[in-house]
Amino acid sequence: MQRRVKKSHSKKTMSPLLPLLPIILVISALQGIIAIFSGIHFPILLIDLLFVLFYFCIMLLELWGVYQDRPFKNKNDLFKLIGWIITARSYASIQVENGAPEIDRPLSRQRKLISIDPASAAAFLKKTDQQIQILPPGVYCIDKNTTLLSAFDLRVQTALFPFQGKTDQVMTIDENIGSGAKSDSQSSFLNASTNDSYQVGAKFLVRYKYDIEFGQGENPYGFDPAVLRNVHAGDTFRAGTILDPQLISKRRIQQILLSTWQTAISQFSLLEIIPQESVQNSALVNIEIEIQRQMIKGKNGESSLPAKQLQGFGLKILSIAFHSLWLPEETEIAIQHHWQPQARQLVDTYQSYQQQKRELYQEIGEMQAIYAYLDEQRKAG
Amino acid sequence: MPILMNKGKQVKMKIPASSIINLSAYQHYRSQQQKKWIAAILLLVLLLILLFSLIFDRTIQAQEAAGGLLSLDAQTVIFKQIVNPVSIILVVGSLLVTGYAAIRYLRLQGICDQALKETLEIQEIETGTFPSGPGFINTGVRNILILKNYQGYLRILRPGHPAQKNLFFFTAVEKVDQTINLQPQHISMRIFCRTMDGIQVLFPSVQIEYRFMVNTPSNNLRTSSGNSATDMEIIKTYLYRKGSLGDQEIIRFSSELVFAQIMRSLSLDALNGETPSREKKPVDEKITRQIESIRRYKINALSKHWRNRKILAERAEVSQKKLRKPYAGRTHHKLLHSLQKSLFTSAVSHENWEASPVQSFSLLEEKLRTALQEKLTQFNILLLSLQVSSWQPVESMVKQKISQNQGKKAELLLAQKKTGNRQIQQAARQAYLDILHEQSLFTSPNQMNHSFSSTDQVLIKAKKYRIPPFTPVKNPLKDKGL
Repeated sequence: MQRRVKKSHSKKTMSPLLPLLPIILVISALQGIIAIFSGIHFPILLIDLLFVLFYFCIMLLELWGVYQDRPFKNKNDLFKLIGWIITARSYASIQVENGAPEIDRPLSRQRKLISIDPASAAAFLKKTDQQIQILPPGVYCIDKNTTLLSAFDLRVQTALFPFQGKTDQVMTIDENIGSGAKSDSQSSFLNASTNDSYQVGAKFLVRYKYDIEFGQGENPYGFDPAVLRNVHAGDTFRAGTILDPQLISKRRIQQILLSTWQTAISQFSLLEIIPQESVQNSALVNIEIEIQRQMIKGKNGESSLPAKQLQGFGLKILSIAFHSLWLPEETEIAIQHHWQPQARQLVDTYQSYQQQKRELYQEIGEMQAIYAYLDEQRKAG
Repeated sequence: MPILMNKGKQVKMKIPASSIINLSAYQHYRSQQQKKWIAAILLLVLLLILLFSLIFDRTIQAQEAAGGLLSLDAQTVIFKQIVNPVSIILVVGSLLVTGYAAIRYLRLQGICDQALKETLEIQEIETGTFPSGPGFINTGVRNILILKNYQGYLRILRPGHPAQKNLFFFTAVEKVDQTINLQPQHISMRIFCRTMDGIQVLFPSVQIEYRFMVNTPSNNLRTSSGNSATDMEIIKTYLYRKGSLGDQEIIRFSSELVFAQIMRSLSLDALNGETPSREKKPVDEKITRQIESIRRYKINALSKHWRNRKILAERAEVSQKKLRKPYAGRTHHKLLHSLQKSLFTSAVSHENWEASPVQSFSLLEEKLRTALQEKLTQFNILLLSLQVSSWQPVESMVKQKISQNQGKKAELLLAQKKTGNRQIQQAARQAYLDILHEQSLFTSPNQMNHSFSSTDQVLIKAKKYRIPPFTPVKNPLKDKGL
């Protein structure tokens, strides 16, 4: 499911005193009129002040009712937010759901009220010391000098590799569905050469998540800032853009997977991968096992180089399997030519059976002829 | 009393406490709302008193400054002049307008939207809207509801029986995350995959019926409460394993993987139900064996028939005599006997063509079903049924070859039907008989060597076909022969 990204902007906040101004004017005028036409004297300024006080008290009560149950991780954030509202400071309200922020820009020059759901975490970059701060689910008031860097989806991710993502967007699962169709071109597969120089493409279905156990950090999907910080290790931050850790992770997995796939397939010939003899097993089984061994971290903690590389990026592969295979056109033709004699052989077998049957019935006819002849001879004496 | 909205109409409806699952949470919300209003009213009263006090004080001060100290009666008159129903209504009205302005400002800014929402039905959520609280949600009987709390946890609401409490109060920090339908679901798709020998095949229609492993609630409360812990584990495992996928996506990907894995272990020949290429010999052997057994049977049958021709002729005569007697009806029940394996009955042992090592389609379907069930169990999804239509090759060339092959087979079958086994047999009999007659015609005293060779040839054949020795005919009437 793809989230619709909102055009980011902060609310145009007008001063809270503006709606009060006409009321105060009317009240002051009323006090003046009453004071002129009666003996009653009003402390007009004091009364106006009391009205303003009442106005803000009601506002505070309402704000307290709204935000007192909000899961502010930092208790001061509640007062900070009320302060922003009372003093009419503009701020942007951002929701991060399932690893996707509802905005398209990091809003580096604005205050932010950020709500992060349990399936997500968010990374912030402080302008002052360029430190990355990873925040767990909750509600936060972020100051102007802190930029939203990225949002993580902590759930298990399932994707087909190679993914069809462009530079700034990720292909969703919905788009990936049906990509195993015949019409797929070579570019939609991870291509590698066999040791007899045939190009073979493959699609892999990979389930992965950040290298955090479920329930860690009191989060159902697991939260560990140290691991999530690794996701952005080596990333360059461009001003005015939000990084997409999901896309970054996919790129890294694809890179390592491609290298592992190329190494694995280069040890086999095409006819070992698609054996034309039924008694022979396909080398794909061995290749799949080898790729799984390379990419998935062992239960005992032992892991090969690709798994270690992924771990370095804060990633963990849960399962990996061949989804579909692509063969070049010349290979397809070769297969068809190979298959054709098999079909002919089948027809030949059928013809031979018919021939044998014909011979048998001819022999039976001959047998009956001898019986008839001998019978005639016997009768003749 | 919460105001429930229903399709834009404001409906005042009191929700009975007995129908709320988490009554304490709702009561907490209600008490907070009450406290807020009490605080607002107290503030209003306090301010009212303060305002009138200030006005009274200022008026007294002004009067005293103008004409000296005022008596208590004069002060009472002034007080009555200030505090009267009209002035009270005016001040309270002004304060209410000020309070309303404060709340309206917050609402216009989008900050304050804490009104209790309408009771949500699961069906409304399924359309794609994921609402947040505060509000009531009807858990229903066919869905599991997952709420996400922004404090960092998930709340799982299992369906309740209609007789039980069915409304759940969710707070402002909770939001509907997803629903799990407990009813059987159906999905149809087509799957492309490759055989072991690299041929791309298509399953044009794969129909899958499935459901989540948790049962819908029953009247038996003991049963449902006993399974709650297991159910929660099942739901948690499902949520963790599926991650960002929907249930239909899980089914689709799992099916594609299972089909790909199984088809990768089968060649196109195996799919066609043909013997693999290296196993051609056993098929040829089977054919030869079958032909040989028919041949042996025919030789034995003819030989035995010839040997028993006299008995058969006598039997035939007795039967004819018996038939002349009037039929008195059957005196016994006809018994059904199984055929005994003897020279005449089941002498031809039929080859078991079906019991070939090649995997038939039904076996393949069973294999696919088992593997898919196993795969879906990992996600706690139960496979109810899997219907797979026959596969077809994707490549047009392969299709062409198969149709050519089938055409050739049909052609051979038609040719066989045209000639017929009986005709072949009769033609061969007549032809050989003609040859033998011709040879006997040429037998003359000066051609003894030819006659000898012809008789010798017949004797050799007779030995080959195990023809019994022919005795001269004593009573030609009894001898019926062939």
